[in-house]
Amino acid sequence: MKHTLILLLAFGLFATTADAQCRSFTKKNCLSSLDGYIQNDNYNSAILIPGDEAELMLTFLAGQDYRLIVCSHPVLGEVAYEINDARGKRLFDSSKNEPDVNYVDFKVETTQQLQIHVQVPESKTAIMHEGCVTVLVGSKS
Amino acid sequence: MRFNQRIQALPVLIGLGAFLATGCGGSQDEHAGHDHGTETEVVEGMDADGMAVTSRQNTLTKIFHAAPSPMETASLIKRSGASFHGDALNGADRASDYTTSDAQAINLGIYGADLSYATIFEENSTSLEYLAVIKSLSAELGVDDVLSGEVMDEVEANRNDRDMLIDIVSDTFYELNERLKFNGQEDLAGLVVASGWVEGMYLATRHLDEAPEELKARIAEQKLVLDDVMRLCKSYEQTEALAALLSSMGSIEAAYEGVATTEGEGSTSREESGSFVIGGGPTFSADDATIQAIASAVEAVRSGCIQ
Repeated sequence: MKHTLILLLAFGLFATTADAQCRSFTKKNCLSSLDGYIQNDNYNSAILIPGDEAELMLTFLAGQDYRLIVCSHPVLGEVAYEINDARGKRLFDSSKNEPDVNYVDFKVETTQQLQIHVQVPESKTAIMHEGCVTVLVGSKS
Repeated sequence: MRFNQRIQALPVLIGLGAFLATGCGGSQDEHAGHDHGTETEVVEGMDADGMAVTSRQNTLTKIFHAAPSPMETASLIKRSGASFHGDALNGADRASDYTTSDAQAINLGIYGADLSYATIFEENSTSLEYLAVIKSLSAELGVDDVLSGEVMDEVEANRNDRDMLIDIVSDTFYELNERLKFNGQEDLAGLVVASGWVEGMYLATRHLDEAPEELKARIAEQKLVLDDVMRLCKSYEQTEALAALLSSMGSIEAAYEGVATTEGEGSTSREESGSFVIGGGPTFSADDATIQAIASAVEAVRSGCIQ
């Protein structure tokens, strides 16, 4: 019983520490890129490894200007992202359309749900790293 | 003996810790298309920049959830030509009536939408009043540091600067969402999001008799946002309060079934500014009876929220 309690406390501490570091990373490295935009209320951040993927489905409103930021730790390499429509048609590919920056500015002609697909590149190194990946969305009228 | 037991437990502990560490932030509810066996290898401590060596072998697909903020809903109400109706807000003096954490979270969402609405319409004294209410409810939920004295001073110093107030309100609700998730209170974060959407819709559907067609179109489009909100909130632990709120919102979903959708082929172009334009996509239409049905369903759910 005593050991179970110790284990549970340790798990909680480990997860909390990792989460706190991800929050810190986001604050320090990502949020400033949304200057001039109203940031979406939702905090979406995860610790990913090479080969991992992430997805976000979100409604974008007609008449708003949006900035989508995929902010990742440099150790993960060039994290690519795509924007697909609700039927899966690819509308934007960061590696082709915006290879040099980690954000894209866009607007939608009609209100619609778009799927953001994030891909962490594979790694061939012997030692693999994990790092924070945060997806941020900001809007302005 | 006791020492040995602890040593034996250590690899399991570290392995499970590694598994938990992959769940930073939102829920991790799908691992589509990937094998994901039990992780039992050592993960070193993460550095301050959010990076660590890992030996996790199996890749995963992390599913994030989000929904447009009440500030976005308030913006589209204003853009559609509607006017401000202060009498529709939930009275700030009622905040002390909410004594359970569930009721406080629900009304944090309600007041947050009221605050966004007042701020977008430049009703700055109302904004300050509702910000004070939100500070008070946040304190009750243990996350009052998102509205520190420093932030409140900044608000006071910029009380006539709409853009600055919008920034502060947006930052506050981002921080609130982040803190509730970090504190393991995702269910409360869900209550804030769901009730915030309901209140935004309640405000949008007041005085429909004088509403321009533009606003009715924007209300119809909220069918998609409702889908976002439900998906986001269902990804959280379903406490009794959250399940009850989502269940009550089923009546709004039913009313939205009357909204017709026409799909269009998606396309992308680029403006001279460098910004992309995503064309095509769906269009939504609803007759007056459907809009009224949505308004009635929203009003009933909102009435339950502010009890």
